[in-house]
Amino acid sequence: MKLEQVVLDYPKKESIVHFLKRKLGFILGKKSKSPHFRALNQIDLTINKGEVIGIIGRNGSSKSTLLKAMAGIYQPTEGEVVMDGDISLLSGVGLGMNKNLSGRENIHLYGSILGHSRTTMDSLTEEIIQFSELHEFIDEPLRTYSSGMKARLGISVATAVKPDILLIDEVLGVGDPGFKKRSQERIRRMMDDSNTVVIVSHSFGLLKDICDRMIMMEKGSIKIIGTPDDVIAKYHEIEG
Amino acid sequence: MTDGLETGVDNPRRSNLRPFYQKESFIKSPFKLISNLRNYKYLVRNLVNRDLNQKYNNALLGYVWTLLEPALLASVYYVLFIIIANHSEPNYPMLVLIGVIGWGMFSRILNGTVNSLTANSGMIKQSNIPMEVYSFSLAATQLVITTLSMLIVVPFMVQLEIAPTVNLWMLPLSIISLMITAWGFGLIFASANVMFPDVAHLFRFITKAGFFVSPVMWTYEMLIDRAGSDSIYFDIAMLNPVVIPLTCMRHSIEGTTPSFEHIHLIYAIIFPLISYIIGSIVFTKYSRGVVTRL
Repeated sequence: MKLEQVVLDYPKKESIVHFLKRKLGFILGKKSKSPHFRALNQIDLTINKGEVIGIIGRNGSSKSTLLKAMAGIYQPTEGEVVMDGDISLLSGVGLGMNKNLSGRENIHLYGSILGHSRTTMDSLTEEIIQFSELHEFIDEPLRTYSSGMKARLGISVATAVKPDILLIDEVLGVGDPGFKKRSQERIRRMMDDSNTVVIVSHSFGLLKDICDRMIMMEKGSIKIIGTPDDVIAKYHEIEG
Repeated sequence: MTDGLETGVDNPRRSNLRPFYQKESFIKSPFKLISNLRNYKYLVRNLVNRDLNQKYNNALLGYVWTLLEPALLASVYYVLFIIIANHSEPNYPMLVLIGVIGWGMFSRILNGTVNSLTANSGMIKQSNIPMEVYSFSLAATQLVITTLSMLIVVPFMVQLEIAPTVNLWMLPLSIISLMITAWGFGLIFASANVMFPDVAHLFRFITKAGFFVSPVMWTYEMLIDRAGSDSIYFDIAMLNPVVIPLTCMRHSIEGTTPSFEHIHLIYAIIFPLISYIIGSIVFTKYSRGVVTRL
Protein backbone atom coordinates (compact mmCIF):
# COMPACT_ATOMS: atom_id res chain seq x y z
CA MET A 1 0.00 0.00 0.00
CA LYS A 2 1.29 3.39 -0.86
CA LEU A 3 0.17 6.91 -0.03
CA GLU A 4 1.49 9.62 -2.27
CA GLN A 5 1.30 13.24 -1.19
CA VAL A 6 -2.10 12.67 0.37
CA VAL A 7 -3.90 15.80 1.44
CA LEU A 8 -7.34 15.73 2.97
CA ASP A 9 -9.44 18.76 3.75
CA TYR A 10 -12.48 18.72 5.98
CA PRO A 11 -14.92 21.38 4.93
CA LYS A 12 -15.96 23.81 7.63
CA LYS A 13 -19.50 24.95 8.07
CA GLU A 14 -20.27 27.85 5.84
CA SER A 15 -23.24 30.16 6.08
CA ILE A 16 -25.48 30.41 3.05
CA VAL A 17 -24.63 34.10 2.67
CA HIS A 18 -20.95 33.28 2.65
CA PHE A 19 -21.51 30.51 0.18
CA LEU A 20 -23.43 32.73 -2.23
CA LYS A 21 -20.81 35.46 -1.91
CA ARG A 22 -18.11 32.97 -2.77
CA LYS A 23 -20.04 31.62 -5.74
CA LEU A 24 -20.70 35.15 -6.94
CA GLY A 25 -16.99 35.86 -6.66
CA PHE A 26 -16.31 32.73 -8.66
CA ILE A 27 -18.57 33.91 -11.45
CA LEU A 28 -16.83 37.27 -11.44
CA GLY A 29 -13.51 35.50 -11.79
CA LYS A 30 -12.29 35.66 -8.19
CA LYS A 31 -11.21 32.24 -7.07
CA SER A 32 -11.53 31.42 -3.39
CA LYS A 33 -11.56 28.03 -1.74
CA SER A 34 -14.31 26.99 0.58
CA PRO A 35 -13.36 27.25 4.26
CA HIS A 36 -11.69 24.04 5.36
CA PHE A 37 -9.56 22.36 7.94
CA ARG A 38 -6.52 20.42 6.74
CA ALA A 39 -6.82 17.00 8.36
CA LEU A 40 -4.04 15.28 6.45
CA ASN A 41 -1.08 17.23 5.21
CA GLN A 42 1.21 15.77 2.56
CA ILE A 43 1.27 12.20 3.78
CA ASP A 44 3.87 10.04 2.03
CA LEU A 45 3.96 6.47 3.22
CA THR A 46 4.82 3.08 1.80
CA ILE A 47 3.64 0.05 3.69
CA ASN A 48 5.20 -3.25 2.72
CA LYS A 49 3.37 -6.49 2.40
CA GLY A 50 3.27 -8.39 5.69
CA GLU A 51 4.28 -5.38 7.72
CA VAL A 52 2.56 -4.37 10.95
CA ILE A 53 2.37 -0.62 11.47
CA GLY A 54 1.20 1.13 14.62
CA ILE A 55 -0.08 4.68 14.62
CA ILE A 56 0.00 6.78 17.76
CA GLY A 57 -0.70 10.40 18.48
CA ARG A 58 -2.84 12.65 20.61
CA ASN A 59 -6.57 12.97 20.19
CA GLY A 60 -7.36 14.95 17.09
CA SER A 61 -4.04 14.28 15.41
CA SER A 62 -5.89 12.67 12.48
CA LYS A 63 -4.91 9.06 13.22
CA SER A 64 -8.34 7.73 12.38
CA THR A 65 -8.65 10.02 9.39
CA LEU A 66 -5.43 8.57 8.00
CA LEU A 67 -6.81 5.08 8.47
CA LYS A 68 -10.04 6.01 6.75
CA ALA A 69 -8.18 7.54 3.85
CA MET A 70 -6.30 4.24 3.53
CA ALA A 71 -9.59 2.34 3.58
CA GLY A 72 -11.00 4.50 0.83
CA ILE A 73 -13.74 6.00 2.95
CA TYR A 74 -12.39 9.50 2.51
CA GLN A 75 -11.36 10.54 -0.93
CA PRO A 76 -8.10 12.52 -0.72
CA THR A 77 -8.38 16.15 -1.76
CA GLU A 78 -4.99 15.81 -3.39
CA GLY A 79 -2.63 12.90 -3.90
CA GLU A 80 -3.35 9.25 -4.29
CA VAL A 81 -3.74 6.06 -2.29
CA VAL A 82 -2.54 2.97 -4.12
CA MET A 83 -3.80 -0.40 -3.00
CA ASP A 84 -2.78 -4.00 -3.34
CA GLY A 85 -5.34 -6.62 -2.40
CA ASP A 86 -8.59 -6.44 -0.51
CA ILE A 87 -8.83 -4.24 2.48
CA SER A 88 -10.84 -4.47 5.65
CA LEU A 89 -11.39 -1.77 8.23
CA LEU A 90 -12.33 -2.59 11.79
CA SER A 91 -13.70 0.55 13.25
CA GLY A 92 -16.41 0.61 15.86
CA VAL A 93 -16.83 -3.10 16.52
CA GLY A 94 -20.28 -4.41 15.73
CA LEU A 95 -20.98 -1.69 13.19
CA GLY A 96 -24.53 -1.94 11.93
CA MET A 97 -25.55 -4.68 14.34
CA ASN A 98 -29.22 -4.64 15.11
CA LYS A 99 -30.74 -5.15 18.54
CA ASN A 100 -33.81 -6.99 17.31
CA LEU A 101 -31.93 -9.59 15.30
CA SER A 102 -30.50 -12.68 16.94
CA GLY A 103 -26.79 -13.07 17.57
CA ARG A 104 -26.58 -15.50 14.67
CA GLU A 105 -28.31 -13.11 12.26
CA ASN A 106 -26.03 -10.35 13.45
CA ILE A 107 -22.98 -12.45 12.65
CA HIS A 108 -24.16 -12.61 9.07
CA LEU A 109 -25.16 -8.96 8.94
CA TYR A 110 -21.89 -7.68 10.37
CA GLY A 111 -19.91 -10.13 8.26
CA SER A 112 -21.57 -8.86 5.10
CA ILE A 113 -20.96 -5.26 6.18
CA LEU A 114 -17.27 -6.19 6.37
CA GLY A 115 -17.68 -7.29 2.76
CA HIS A 116 -17.81 -11.07 3.06
CA SER A 117 -19.89 -13.30 0.85
CA ARG A 118 -22.59 -15.68 1.94
CA THR A 119 -20.44 -18.77 1.47
CA THR A 120 -17.63 -17.28 3.55
CA MET A 121 -20.03 -16.43 6.34
CA ASP A 122 -21.78 -19.80 6.24
CA SER A 123 -18.49 -21.58 6.64
CA LEU A 124 -17.32 -19.32 9.45
CA THR A 125 -20.44 -19.06 11.59
CA GLU A 126 -19.75 -22.05 13.82
CA GLU A 127 -16.15 -21.04 14.39
CA ILE A 128 -17.27 -17.51 15.29
CA ILE A 129 -19.82 -18.77 17.79
CA GLN A 130 -17.17 -21.07 19.25
CA PHE A 131 -14.71 -18.24 19.68
CA SER A 132 -17.21 -15.81 21.15
CA GLU A 133 -18.38 -18.42 23.71
CA LEU A 134 -21.96 -17.28 23.28
CA HIS A 135 -23.53 -20.65 22.44
CA GLU A 136 -26.52 -20.38 24.75
CA PHE A 137 -27.40 -16.85 23.70
CA ILE A 138 -26.68 -17.02 19.99
CA ASP A 139 -30.32 -17.32 18.93
CA GLU A 140 -31.52 -14.67 21.36
CA PRO A 141 -32.05 -11.10 20.13
CA LEU A 142 -29.07 -8.83 20.58
CA ARG A 143 -30.99 -6.49 22.90
CA THR A 144 -30.70 -9.14 25.62
CA TYR A 145 -26.90 -9.06 25.42
CA SER A 146 -24.68 -7.10 27.76
CA SER A 147 -22.37 -4.57 26.15
CA GLY A 148 -19.42 -6.85 26.82
CA MET A 149 -21.14 -9.72 25.04
CA LYS A 150 -21.95 -7.53 22.05
CA ALA A 151 -18.35 -6.44 21.80
CA ARG A 152 -17.24 -10.06 22.05
CA LEU A 153 -19.51 -11.05 19.20
CA GLY A 154 -18.28 -8.14 17.10
CA ILE A 155 -14.61 -8.92 17.68
CA SER A 156 -15.19 -12.58 16.92
CA VAL A 157 -16.70 -11.76 13.54
CA ALA A 158 -14.19 -9.07 12.72
CA THR A 159 -11.20 -11.28 13.35
CA ALA A 160 -12.54 -14.43 11.73
CA VAL A 161 -11.40 -13.74 8.19
CA LYS A 162 -8.04 -12.83 6.84
CA PRO A 163 -8.05 -9.85 4.54
CA ASP A 164 -4.89 -8.86 2.67
CA ILE A 165 -4.78 -5.53 4.40
CA LEU A 166 -6.29 -5.09 7.83
CA LEU A 167 -6.86 -1.67 9.34
CA ILE A 168 -7.75 -1.60 13.02
CA ASP A 169 -9.03 1.46 14.83
CA GLU A 170 -8.97 1.20 18.64
CA VAL A 171 -11.00 -1.94 18.94
CA LEU A 172 -8.70 -4.27 20.82
CA GLY A 173 -9.48 -3.48 24.42
CA VAL A 174 -12.87 -5.10 24.91
CA GLY A 175 -14.20 -7.96 26.93
CA ASP A 176 -13.00 -9.50 30.15
CA PRO A 177 -9.27 -10.13 30.58
CA GLY A 178 -9.55 -13.72 29.37
CA PHE A 179 -11.31 -12.79 26.16
CA LYS A 180 -9.03 -9.84 25.64
CA LYS A 181 -6.02 -12.11 25.73
CA ARG A 182 -7.56 -14.60 23.34
CA SER A 183 -8.64 -11.95 20.86
CA GLN A 184 -5.19 -10.41 20.90
CA GLU A 185 -3.78 -13.85 20.18
CA ARG A 186 -6.22 -14.18 17.33
CA ILE A 187 -5.28 -10.82 15.88
CA ARG A 188 -1.65 -11.83 16.13
CA ARG A 189 -2.49 -14.99 14.21
CA MET A 190 -4.17 -12.91 11.52
CA MET A 191 -0.99 -10.90 11.25
CA ASP A 192 1.17 -14.02 11.05
CA ASP A 193 -0.63 -15.03 7.88
CA SER A 194 1.48 -12.42 6.17
CA ASN A 195 -1.28 -9.86 6.22
CA THR A 196 -0.50 -6.20 6.23
CA VAL A 197 -1.83 -4.60 9.38
CA VAL A 198 -2.19 -0.98 10.39
CA ILE A 199 -3.31 -0.33 13.97
CA VAL A 200 -4.36 2.88 15.64
CA SER A 201 -4.15 2.46 19.37
CA HIS A 202 -3.27 4.09 22.63
CA SER A 203 -2.02 0.90 24.27
CA PHE A 204 1.71 1.26 23.74
CA GLY A 205 2.45 -2.08 25.35
CA LEU A 206 0.54 -3.93 22.70
CA LEU A 207 1.91 -1.87 19.84
CA LYS A 208 5.48 -2.37 21.02
CA ASP A 209 4.91 -6.11 20.98
CA ILE A 210 3.43 -6.49 17.55
CA CYS A 211 4.58 -3.63 15.36
CA ASP A 212 7.45 -3.62 12.89
CA ARG A 213 7.29 0.12 12.53
CA MET A 214 5.45 2.89 14.24
CA ILE A 215 4.22 6.28 13.20
CA MET A 216 3.53 9.26 15.38
CA MET A 217 0.99 11.69 14.01
CA GLU A 218 0.80 15.33 14.90
CA LYS A 219 -1.67 17.84 13.48
CA GLY A 220 -2.30 15.85 10.34
CA SER A 221 1.33 15.16 9.50
CA ILE A 222 3.67 12.27 10.17
CA LYS A 223 5.89 13.57 12.92
CA ILE A 224 8.10 10.54 13.51
CA ILE A 225 8.40 7.22 11.77
CA GLY A 226 10.67 4.42 12.96
CA THR A 227 11.06 1.38 15.18
CA PRO A 228 8.56 1.02 18.03
CA ASP A 229 11.15 1.70 20.73
CA ASP A 230 12.36 4.87 19.06
CA VAL A 231 8.93 6.25 18.39
CA ILE A 232 7.58 5.52 21.85
CA ALA A 233 10.67 7.04 23.45
CA LYS A 234 10.34 10.16 21.34
CA TYR A 235 6.62 10.35 22.02
CA HIS A 236 7.27 10.41 25.76
CA GLU A 237 9.98 12.99 25.23
CA ILE A 238 7.63 15.30 23.34
CA GLU A 239 4.52 14.76 25.39
CA GLY A 240 6.41 14.70 28.68
CA MET B 1 11.69 3.74 3.75
CA THR B 2 12.11 0.75 1.52
CA ASP B 3 9.93 0.18 -1.43
CA GLY B 4 8.75 -3.30 -0.74
CA LEU B 5 5.62 -3.28 -2.81
CA GLU B 6 6.95 -6.03 -5.01
CA THR B 7 7.63 -8.39 -2.12
CA GLY B 8 4.36 -10.23 -2.52
CA VAL B 9 6.20 -13.51 -3.03
CA ASP B 10 3.87 -15.57 -0.90
CA ASN B 11 0.88 -14.53 -2.95
CA PRO B 12 1.90 -13.40 -6.42
CA ARG B 13 -1.66 -13.75 -7.65
CA ARG B 14 -2.66 -10.66 -5.75
CA SER B 15 -0.04 -8.17 -6.81
CA ASN B 16 -2.54 -5.95 -8.54
CA LEU B 17 -1.64 -2.47 -7.44
CA ARG B 18 -4.53 -0.19 -8.08
CA PRO B 19 -5.39 3.30 -6.97
CA PHE B 20 -8.66 4.00 -5.26
CA TYR B 21 -10.90 6.25 -7.27
CA GLN B 22 -9.65 5.43 -10.70
CA LYS B 23 -10.72 8.10 -13.07
CA GLU B 24 -13.28 6.24 -15.05
CA SER B 25 -15.40 7.49 -17.87
CA PHE B 26 -18.85 8.49 -16.67
CA ILE B 27 -20.33 6.17 -19.29
CA LYS B 28 -19.31 3.27 -17.05
CA SER B 29 -21.22 4.55 -13.98
CA PRO B 30 -24.55 2.82 -14.68
CA PHE B 31 -22.75 -0.51 -15.04
CA LYS B 32 -20.47 0.11 -12.11
CA LEU B 33 -23.43 0.63 -9.80
CA ILE B 34 -24.94 -2.67 -10.89
CA SER B 35 -21.68 -4.58 -10.47
CA ASN B 36 -21.16 -3.05 -7.01
CA LEU B 37 -24.63 -4.17 -5.98
CA ARG B 38 -23.95 -7.65 -7.32
CA ASN B 39 -20.76 -7.88 -5.30
CA TYR B 40 -22.65 -6.83 -2.20
CA LYS B 41 -25.86 -8.74 -2.82
CA TYR B 42 -25.51 -10.67 0.41
CA LEU B 43 -25.27 -7.42 2.34
CA VAL B 44 -28.32 -6.04 0.51
CA ARG B 45 -30.21 -9.17 1.47
CA ASN B 46 -29.21 -8.85 5.10
CA LEU B 47 -30.09 -5.16 5.21
CA VAL B 48 -33.52 -5.84 3.71
CA ASN B 49 -33.99 -8.59 6.26
CA ARG B 50 -32.96 -6.21 9.04
CA ASP B 51 -35.32 -3.47 7.91
CA LEU B 52 -38.28 -5.81 7.54
CA ASN B 53 -37.53 -7.20 10.96
CA GLN B 54 -37.27 -3.70 12.37
CA LYS B 55 -40.62 -2.75 10.89
CA TYR B 56 -42.57 -5.71 12.15
CA ASN B 57 -40.75 -6.75 15.27
CA ASN B 58 -42.75 -6.30 18.44
CA ALA B 59 -45.85 -5.46 16.46
CA LEU B 60 -48.76 -7.53 17.64
CA LEU B 61 -50.20 -7.96 14.19
CA GLY B 62 -46.85 -8.17 12.38
CA TYR B 63 -47.36 -8.52 8.64
CA VAL B 64 -51.07 -7.76 8.94
CA TRP B 65 -50.02 -4.12 9.20
CA THR B 66 -48.64 -4.28 5.66
CA LEU B 67 -52.16 -5.00 4.46
CA LEU B 68 -54.02 -2.92 6.99
CA GLU B 69 -52.10 0.30 6.53
CA PRO B 70 -52.95 0.93 2.85
CA ALA B 71 -56.47 -0.40 3.38
CA LEU B 72 -57.19 2.06 6.18
CA LEU B 73 -55.67 4.91 4.22
CA ALA B 74 -57.64 4.00 1.12
CA SER B 75 -60.92 3.86 3.03
CA VAL B 76 -60.34 7.38 4.32
CA TYR B 77 -59.66 8.65 0.79
CA TYR B 78 -62.67 6.76 -0.47
CA VAL B 79 -65.04 8.36 1.99
CA LEU B 80 -63.50 11.73 1.25
CA PHE B 81 -64.00 11.23 -2.46
CA ILE B 82 -67.63 10.20 -2.14
CA ILE B 83 -68.28 13.37 -0.16
CA ILE B 84 -66.51 15.52 -2.76
CA ALA B 85 -67.60 13.83 -5.96
CA ASN B 86 -70.94 12.69 -4.67
CA HIS B 87 -70.89 9.50 -6.71
CA SER B 88 -68.89 6.34 -7.03
CA GLU B 89 -68.24 3.34 -9.23
CA PRO B 90 -68.07 -0.13 -7.68
CA ASN B 91 -64.40 -0.57 -8.66
CA TYR B 92 -63.34 2.74 -7.26
CA PRO B 93 -62.29 1.68 -3.70
CA MET B 94 -59.95 -0.93 -5.16
CA LEU B 95 -58.48 1.55 -7.63
CA VAL B 96 -57.77 4.00 -4.81
CA LEU B 97 -56.17 1.22 -2.81
CA ILE B 98 -53.83 0.31 -5.66
CA GLY B 99 -53.01 3.97 -6.11
CA VAL B 100 -52.21 4.34 -2.41
CA ILE B 101 -49.91 1.32 -2.44
CA GLY B 102 -48.07 2.32 -5.62
CA TRP B 103 -47.71 5.97 -4.73
CA GLY B 104 -46.69 5.13 -1.16
CA MET B 105 -43.85 3.00 -2.45
CA PHE B 106 -42.76 5.65 -4.93
CA SER B 107 -42.65 8.49 -2.41
CA ARG B 108 -40.96 6.43 0.30
CA ILE B 109 -38.22 5.27 -2.06
CA LEU B 110 -37.72 8.78 -3.44
CA ASN B 111 -37.48 10.42 -0.01
CA GLY B 112 -35.45 7.56 1.39
CA THR B 113 -32.92 7.70 -1.42
CA VAL B 114 -32.52 11.46 -1.20
CA ASN B 115 -31.86 10.99 2.53
CA SER B 116 -29.82 7.80 2.19
CA LEU B 117 -26.40 9.37 2.77
CA THR B 118 -27.38 11.57 5.70
CA ALA B 119 -29.44 8.82 7.34
CA ASN B 120 -26.59 6.30 7.16
CA SER B 121 -23.76 8.70 7.98
CA GLY B 122 -22.60 6.55 10.90
CA MET B 123 -22.10 3.50 8.73
CA ILE B 124 -20.72 5.42 5.77
CA LYS B 125 -17.98 7.02 7.86
CA GLN B 126 -16.87 3.69 9.27
CA SER B 127 -16.96 1.29 6.37
CA ASN B 128 -16.04 1.32 2.71
CA ILE B 129 -19.22 -0.28 1.44
CA PRO B 130 -20.29 1.24 -1.89
CA MET B 131 -22.80 3.87 -0.85
CA GLU B 132 -25.48 2.96 -3.35
CA VAL B 133 -26.06 -0.17 -1.24
CA TYR B 134 -27.95 1.85 1.38
CA SER B 135 -30.52 3.37 -0.94
CA PHE B 136 -30.86 0.23 -3.00
CA SER B 137 -31.60 -1.94 0.01
CA LEU B 138 -34.17 0.61 1.11
CA ALA B 139 -35.78 0.41 -2.33
CA ALA B 140 -35.68 -3.39 -2.23
CA THR B 141 -37.32 -3.37 1.21
CA GLN B 142 -40.10 -1.19 -0.14
CA LEU B 143 -40.47 -3.54 -3.09
CA VAL B 144 -41.00 -6.49 -0.75
CA ILE B 145 -43.50 -4.55 1.37
CA THR B 146 -45.39 -3.41 -1.73
CA THR B 147 -45.57 -6.92 -3.12
CA LEU B 148 -47.00 -8.13 0.17
CA SER B 149 -49.43 -5.21 0.36
CA MET B 150 -50.77 -5.98 -3.10
CA LEU B 151 -52.26 -9.18 -1.72
CA ILE B 152 -55.00 -7.06 -0.19
CA VAL B 153 -56.58 -6.58 -3.62
CA VAL B 154 -57.46 -10.30 -3.67
CA PRO B 155 -60.57 -9.96 -1.46
CA PHE B 156 -61.65 -6.99 -3.62
CA MET B 157 -61.23 -9.06 -6.77
CA VAL B 158 -63.34 -11.81 -5.25
CA GLN B 159 -66.03 -9.37 -4.20
CA LEU B 160 -66.07 -7.61 -7.59
CA GLU B 161 -65.90 -10.97 -9.39
CA ILE B 162 -62.76 -10.03 -11.29
CA ALA B 163 -60.83 -13.03 -12.55
CA PRO B 164 -57.07 -12.65 -12.98
CA THR B 165 -56.08 -12.31 -16.63
CA VAL B 166 -52.86 -12.36 -18.64
CA ASN B 167 -52.74 -8.58 -18.19
CA LEU B 168 -51.23 -9.30 -14.76
CA TRP B 169 -47.81 -9.30 -16.45
CA MET B 170 -47.99 -5.50 -16.35
CA LEU B 171 -48.09 -5.50 -12.55
CA PRO B 172 -44.48 -6.47 -11.71
CA LEU B 173 -43.24 -4.40 -14.62
CA SER B 174 -45.01 -1.24 -13.51
CA ILE B 175 -43.99 -1.70 -9.86
CA ILE B 176 -40.35 -2.15 -10.87
CA SER B 177 -40.51 0.83 -13.19
CA LEU B 178 -41.85 2.95 -10.30
CA MET B 179 -39.03 1.69 -8.11
CA ILE B 180 -36.32 2.47 -10.67
CA THR B 181 -37.76 5.91 -11.34
CA ALA B 182 -37.82 6.80 -7.64
CA TRP B 183 -34.40 5.32 -6.89
CA GLY B 184 -32.68 6.77 -9.95
CA PHE B 185 -34.23 10.18 -9.46
CA GLY B 186 -33.35 10.14 -5.78
CA LEU B 187 -29.72 9.24 -6.55
CA ILE B 188 -29.36 12.46 -8.54
CA PHE B 189 -30.03 14.49 -5.40
CA ALA B 190 -28.62 12.32 -2.61
CA SER B 191 -25.16 13.94 -2.65
CA ALA B 192 -26.60 17.43 -2.96
CA ASN B 193 -28.71 16.76 0.12
CA VAL B 194 -25.53 16.34 2.16
CA MET B 195 -24.36 19.80 1.12
CA PHE B 196 -27.79 21.40 1.47
CA PRO B 197 -30.35 19.72 3.73
CA ASP B 198 -32.94 21.93 2.04
CA VAL B 199 -33.07 19.33 -0.72
CA ALA B 200 -34.77 16.84 1.57
CA HIS B 201 -37.33 19.45 2.62
CA LEU B 202 -38.02 20.20 -1.00
CA PHE B 203 -38.57 16.53 -1.78
CA ARG B 204 -40.85 16.06 1.19
CA PHE B 205 -42.94 18.88 -0.23
CA ILE B 206 -42.80 17.48 -3.76
CA THR B 207 -44.03 14.07 -2.63
CA LYS B 208 -46.80 15.61 -0.52
CA ALA B 209 -48.02 17.77 -3.38
CA GLY B 210 -47.33 14.98 -5.84
CA PHE B 211 -49.96 12.90 -4.13
CA PHE B 212 -52.65 15.17 -5.58
CA VAL B 213 -51.25 15.47 -9.08
CA SER B 214 -50.73 11.71 -9.32
CA PRO B 215 -53.51 9.24 -10.02
CA VAL B 216 -54.07 8.10 -6.45
CA MET B 217 -57.51 9.53 -5.70
CA TRP B 218 -58.30 9.97 -9.38
CA THR B 219 -57.69 7.77 -12.39
CA TYR B 220 -56.29 8.28 -15.85
CA GLU B 221 -59.73 7.68 -17.35
CA MET B 222 -61.27 10.38 -15.10
CA LEU B 223 -58.56 12.73 -16.30
CA ILE B 224 -59.50 12.14 -19.94
CA ASP B 225 -63.20 12.50 -19.10
CA ARG B 226 -62.77 15.76 -17.27
CA ALA B 227 -59.92 17.47 -19.06
CA GLY B 228 -60.25 15.93 -22.52
CA SER B 229 -57.30 14.33 -24.23
CA ASP B 230 -56.44 17.43 -26.27
CA SER B 231 -56.31 19.95 -23.45
CA ILE B 232 -53.10 21.46 -22.17
CA TYR B 233 -53.89 20.24 -18.62
CA PHE B 234 -53.89 16.69 -19.87
CA ASP B 235 -50.47 17.14 -21.48
CA ILE B 236 -49.07 18.68 -18.32
CA ALA B 237 -50.52 15.93 -16.13
CA MET B 238 -48.94 13.33 -18.36
CA LEU B 239 -45.47 14.76 -17.65
CA ASN B 240 -45.81 13.15 -14.25
CA PRO B 241 -43.77 9.92 -14.61
CA VAL B 242 -45.99 7.90 -12.27
CA VAL B 243 -49.25 8.32 -14.20
CA ILE B 244 -48.68 5.46 -16.62
CA PRO B 245 -47.16 2.93 -14.17
CA LEU B 246 -49.99 3.50 -11.65
CA THR B 247 -52.60 3.22 -14.39
CA CYS B 248 -50.99 0.02 -15.64
CA MET B 249 -51.07 -1.41 -12.11
CA ARG B 250 -54.80 -0.80 -11.97
CA HIS B 251 -55.53 -2.22 -15.40
CA SER B 252 -53.45 -5.30 -14.74
CA ILE B 253 -55.64 -6.11 -11.74
CA GLU B 254 -58.90 -5.22 -13.47
CA GLY B 255 -57.85 -7.31 -16.46
CA THR B 256 -58.44 -4.50 -18.91
CA THR B 257 -56.05 -3.03 -21.45
CA PRO B 258 -55.18 0.64 -21.02
CA SER B 259 -55.01 2.88 -24.07
CA PHE B 260 -52.21 5.41 -24.06
CA GLU B 261 -50.89 7.68 -26.73
CA HIS B 262 -47.61 6.39 -28.14
CA ILE B 263 -45.66 9.43 -27.08
CA HIS B 264 -46.76 8.97 -23.46
CA LEU B 265 -45.90 5.31 -23.52
CA ILE B 266 -42.42 6.01 -24.85
CA TYR B 267 -42.01 8.67 -22.15
CA ALA B 268 -43.00 6.15 -19.47
CA ILE B 269 -40.40 3.67 -20.72
CA ILE B 270 -37.60 6.19 -21.16
CA PHE B 271 -38.10 8.12 -17.92
CA PRO B 272 -36.92 5.36 -15.52
CA LEU B 273 -33.93 4.58 -17.74
CA ILE B 274 -32.83 8.19 -18.01
CA SER B 275 -33.34 8.75 -14.27
CA TYR B 276 -31.22 5.73 -13.48
CA ILE B 277 -28.47 6.67 -15.93
CA ILE B 278 -28.24 10.28 -14.75
CA GLY B 279 -28.66 9.19 -11.12
CA SER B 280 -25.83 6.68 -11.30
CA ILE B 281 -23.49 9.14 -13.04
CA VAL B 282 -24.16 11.96 -10.57
CA PHE B 283 -24.01 9.62 -7.57
CA THR B 284 -20.73 8.00 -8.65
CA LYS B 285 -19.16 11.37 -9.30
CA TYR B 286 -20.14 13.18 -6.12
CA SER B 287 -21.07 10.75 -3.35
CA ARG B 288 -17.53 9.89 -2.15
CA GLY B 289 -16.54 13.52 -2.09
CA VAL B 290 -19.26 14.53 0.34
CA VAL B 291 -18.35 11.94 3.02
CA THR B 292 -16.24 14.51 4.87
CA ARG B 293 -19.34 16.68 5.14
CA LEU B 294 -21.45 13.99 6.81
